Amino acid sequence: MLECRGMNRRTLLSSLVFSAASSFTGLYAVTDSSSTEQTWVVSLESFRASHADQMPHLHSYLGGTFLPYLNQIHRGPIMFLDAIVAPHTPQALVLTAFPSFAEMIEIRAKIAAHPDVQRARADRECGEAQILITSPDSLRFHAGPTRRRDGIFELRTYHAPTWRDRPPAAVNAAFRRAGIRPILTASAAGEHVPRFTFLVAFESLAIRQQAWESLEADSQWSDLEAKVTSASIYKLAPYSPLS
Amino acid sequence: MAWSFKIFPSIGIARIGNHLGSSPQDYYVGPEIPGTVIVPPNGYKDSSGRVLRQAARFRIYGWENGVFMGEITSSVADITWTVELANTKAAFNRFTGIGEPTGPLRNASVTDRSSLMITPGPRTIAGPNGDAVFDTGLFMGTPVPLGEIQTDSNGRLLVLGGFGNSSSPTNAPLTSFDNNDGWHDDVSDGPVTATVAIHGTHRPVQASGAWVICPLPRFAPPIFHIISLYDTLLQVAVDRLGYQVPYPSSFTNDVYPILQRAIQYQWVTTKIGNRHAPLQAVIPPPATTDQRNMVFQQLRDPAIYPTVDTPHLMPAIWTDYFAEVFGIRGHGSPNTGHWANHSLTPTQYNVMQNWAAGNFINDWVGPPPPGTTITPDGLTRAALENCSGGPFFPGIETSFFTRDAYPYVEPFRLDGSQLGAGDLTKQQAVPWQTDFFDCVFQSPLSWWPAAHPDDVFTVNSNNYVTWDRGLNSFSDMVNFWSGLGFLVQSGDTIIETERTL
Repeated sequence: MLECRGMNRRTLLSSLVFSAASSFTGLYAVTDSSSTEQTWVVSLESFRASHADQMPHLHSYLGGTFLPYLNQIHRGPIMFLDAIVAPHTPQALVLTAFPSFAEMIEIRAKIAAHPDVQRARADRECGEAQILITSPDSLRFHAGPTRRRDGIFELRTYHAPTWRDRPPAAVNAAFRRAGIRPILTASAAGEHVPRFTFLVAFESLAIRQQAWESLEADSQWSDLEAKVTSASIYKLAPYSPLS
Repeated sequence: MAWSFKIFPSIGIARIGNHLGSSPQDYYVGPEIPGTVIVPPNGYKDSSGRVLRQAARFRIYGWENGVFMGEITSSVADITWTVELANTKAAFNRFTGIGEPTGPLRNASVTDRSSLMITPGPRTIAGPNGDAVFDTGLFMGTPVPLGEIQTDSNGRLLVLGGFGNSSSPTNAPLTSFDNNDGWHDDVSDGPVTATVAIHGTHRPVQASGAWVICPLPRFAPPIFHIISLYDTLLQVAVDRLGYQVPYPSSFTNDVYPILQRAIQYQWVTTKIGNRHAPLQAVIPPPATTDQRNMVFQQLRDPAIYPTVDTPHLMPAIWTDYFAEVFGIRGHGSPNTGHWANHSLTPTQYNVMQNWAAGNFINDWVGPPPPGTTITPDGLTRAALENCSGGPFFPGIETSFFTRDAYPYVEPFRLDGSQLGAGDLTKQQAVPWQTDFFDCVFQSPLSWWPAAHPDDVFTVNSNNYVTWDRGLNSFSDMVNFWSGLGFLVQSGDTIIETERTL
């Protein structure tokens, strides 16, 4: 995770690239362990505002400048989320998936060099960024009904030492029993810590509550010894693609 | 999936003002980020010279199964706030010094004690954009409005205090700085509670409660008290709750603020002038051991009994055991050569002692800029660092009871189940203006120069002038307090503005 606090916000993007590059060795250690499988790299980048009245300006940048240019140079999944319950609010979160780490670096470098983005980002408050690793079948931004646009999304991270490199099959089984269907299951890139992140879509807060309560009551889930370390709830930004 | 909720700030500050409006343009919200100074867009007064009220904004933060989730607003939850404000000063004990916490009653001849208590009762509002008014309190049968509560579009709570009205229905004279029978003012305090139901759960949960104090205006916002209420209640947390202060200390976050506050006092008292220049010599760190020791050796050791004189040691503010020093009630005591000053808190003193010994983190990259992020703990700190943490004789925003007697459920969070509305202000002077008039420099020490500046600079003067010039009596302060100027940063200086006397 890249902590941007205290950093010149204008250096955010270059630092993000640098941070990711510095994780290169660890990243390849992860991908090498399953070299026969394709992996996707997911970037989670947050943008914070000091006050809610700054959010329209932020969304104008993300939807009006950043997204159009990203669409020109990138074909992978993209989501734009708006935090409704998160440790730091107001905040917008951009999830971008890339088929390789090298492609992520390349695209990010192009974005960083674009004059409109540079100009706009000069006024942006920095947030923080995470780089996650996932497999294609664990990345389902496009899955599910279109009513998701009215629902909520939860980004939830577990510390689970017994899961080793990836969530075991029992995790998905327990999730299914509880009605939890992640649209992203990923682990931290380049980190040798048992940290796993899920992005889960729910139709409502009430259904979310029921689902997690159901999971907590599942004895087989308890046996998996996973501890929540962070959770944030979002809604889809109006301009966000569903994939 | 159990949710728990807490209200922040755990103690909020809403300051009185005599501008009567209650629309958003009629008040300003107090500091919510530590180190920030709020300057309203059009100043602290309206075009008629009336002082705007400072609102206290309260927010709910949520934890789910112990995991911090963030702020909870009305977009995800049904929030119902309940606030009670009261002013019970006139029914409480006469102030006779903190060594005498159970003195005789104020207004002892009044048998109907409830007639002395301004207690409009609790007000409840649910959801965004609500409001309720504390307009049913009476003092000796006379209505005394104490303010109102509102919720904003996100369901956050705003508390607005009274209007600076102090009077005597019996036309009693003002005779002392602290106890004036027959008089009331409209400062107040009380509990802030809330129930929260995450949408779809249908299970309202009681949030851990907070408290609001509605004291007098803060006329010198850029000047921080050398011992703030945050420092004092941090010491309470250390002493009574086992809170552990990080060690070693940060120069930037722990040492520098103490030095800087002392340096900034040059803008509110002529007694300092350039005498604090040696403090500039130890910034930036590390400075030499001799330089650090020279500063540290000027500080009074908090282990010294409060009534003992420590001539010329700092800070140069009176002890809150003032009455005991003189063997009498303190008011009007002539200068008898005493230098019984208030010490830093033990935690502040330890920070300085360790710094002098070289045990600190040199993290200096320049004066720390104000933060940009609102956090739960930051909300509390921002509120309390703008209040006086002593001396409590009897005090500005609250009294020695808050430090010495009242119970806390966690650091900075009072145990509301054992307190009542009005308890945090009941031992303050009644009316507040008499103490505020009196609490000027009293040779050889000051009282609260960050609350009541002794001497200031004006935009037209390079020499100190008396801040409360033109006010010559208790009555003058009661009638004309809103004419006093506010201090603002102007380049590298701090000057008086908006004086309307």
